[in-house]
Amino acid sequence: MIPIPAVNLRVSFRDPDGFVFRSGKRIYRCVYPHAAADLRAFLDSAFATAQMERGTLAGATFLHNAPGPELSAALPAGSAILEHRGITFPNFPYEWAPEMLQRAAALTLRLAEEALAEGFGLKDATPYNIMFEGPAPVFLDVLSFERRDPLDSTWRPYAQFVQTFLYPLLANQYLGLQLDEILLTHREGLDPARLRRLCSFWLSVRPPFLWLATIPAWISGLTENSSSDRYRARRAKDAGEARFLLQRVFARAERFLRRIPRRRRSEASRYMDSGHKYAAAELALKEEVVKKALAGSGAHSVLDIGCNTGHFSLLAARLGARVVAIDRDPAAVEELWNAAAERNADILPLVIDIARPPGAAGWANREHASFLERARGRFDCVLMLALVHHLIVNERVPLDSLFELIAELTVRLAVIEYIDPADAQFQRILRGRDALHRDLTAESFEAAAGRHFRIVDIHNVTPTRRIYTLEKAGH
Amino acid sequence: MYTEPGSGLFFLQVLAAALLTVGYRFRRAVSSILRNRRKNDSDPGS
Repeated sequence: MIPIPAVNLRVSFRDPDGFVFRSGKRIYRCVYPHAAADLRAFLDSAFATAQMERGTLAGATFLHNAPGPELSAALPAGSAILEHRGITFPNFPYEWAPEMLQRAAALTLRLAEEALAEGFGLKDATPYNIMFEGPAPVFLDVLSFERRDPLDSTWRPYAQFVQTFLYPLLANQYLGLQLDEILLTHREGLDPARLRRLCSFWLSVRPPFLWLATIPAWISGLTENSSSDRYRARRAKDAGEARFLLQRVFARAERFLRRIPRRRRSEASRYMDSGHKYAAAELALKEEVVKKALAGSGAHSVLDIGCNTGHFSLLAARLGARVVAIDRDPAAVEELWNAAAERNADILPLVIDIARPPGAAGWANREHASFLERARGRFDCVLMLALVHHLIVNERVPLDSLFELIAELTVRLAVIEYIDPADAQFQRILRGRDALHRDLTAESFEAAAGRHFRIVDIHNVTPTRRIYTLEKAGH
Repeated sequence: MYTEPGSGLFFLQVLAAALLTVGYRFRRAVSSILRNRRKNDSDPGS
């Protein structure tokens, strides 16, 4: 096994053919000598070229030399080095809405099938091969493609595809599990036996669970101690037969994927349509405030915290900003993702609760950076509209701490909506715990903001709600 | 990277492939027979 260099880099290590590392803001891939020729052939293929042009496969360029003498000395002799076009805001499957995972699954199947025609196969099928650039999935791991034996009729990653894509989607739809509940702690998704145990008897004997989970779990039990010879590749009589069989595997997987129904809307995703909404004039004023802050500052990158269905994320995107929009409600995020995809808006919606954002994960907590590490200092403007009262009441976040975090996340602006305890919505979530927020006033809010920001603008949207445009101290 | 093939799901894939192979080869055999018959019919002198 070729050792990973002992250089202080963020590296991936699972692929026997190479690893990814970051140097500064740039992303590189080191490809070991035994895999370099095949990767070159793959990247030169018409399939790869077309996918890179479409933006569904991560752009990659071979470099003549390693970037820098220290790296050159550290990397294995004879390795090839690629530079990848990075994803603007790295994101992980446990942060996606269910339809985003479904879309990533569809992309995986499509690439696996289309690569066959040029003699390549996909050797692994995990959602960690993919990240979203705005609303569009991009397949990053070019080393997942390999030259395939034309007579090999088995798609070895089929089980990985089912366990990391289909099972989490089924568990989400039928059992109410959120994707982060599965994928954050189980990199390889669910196994058939576990999914079967989570189902009721009647669910486990109905399609799709019967074919996808119950029977495989039963067979796994029977074949537990079987010889590894069972997992050898099955060779077809000729290439046409092998391709036919593989296409049937992909078609079957696509059918299972298509038949997973979409979730119903949640209370949160109906917020903008419900009685909690603002009167038309109030909403228009709120929109004007946000537009003025963004257009006036020329903000290029916006973080919309508590975005709900993304009314203001879409507005920011229309003004030319790249938006990362987060909300803890998957249905709301899903609705925003659909809207962004439809309008080709540069919005990356993620299911993240700002009160407990995902931490660093993976081996030694170094494989996947925490949300806050990825977000700090990345955004020209942070929006926090109709959210602060939830954090204050339900999470008891101190105001100072709230503004400290916002100041870490933005490099310049913040647009924050203050909601007074007298507000009906505040009272609704307070549920009689008035004593807890006796000290919360506009003055205390402004004092806390003033320790990190300069108040640029204040607008009263309603008698109990006002929007503050804040600029970071030092600007 | 390669991944553990998942015994139950792998076995079902292999089983499905075996059944599909029978159908595929049968269809190809039938197509071949029909093609030859059409060829013979259109060229009765041979």
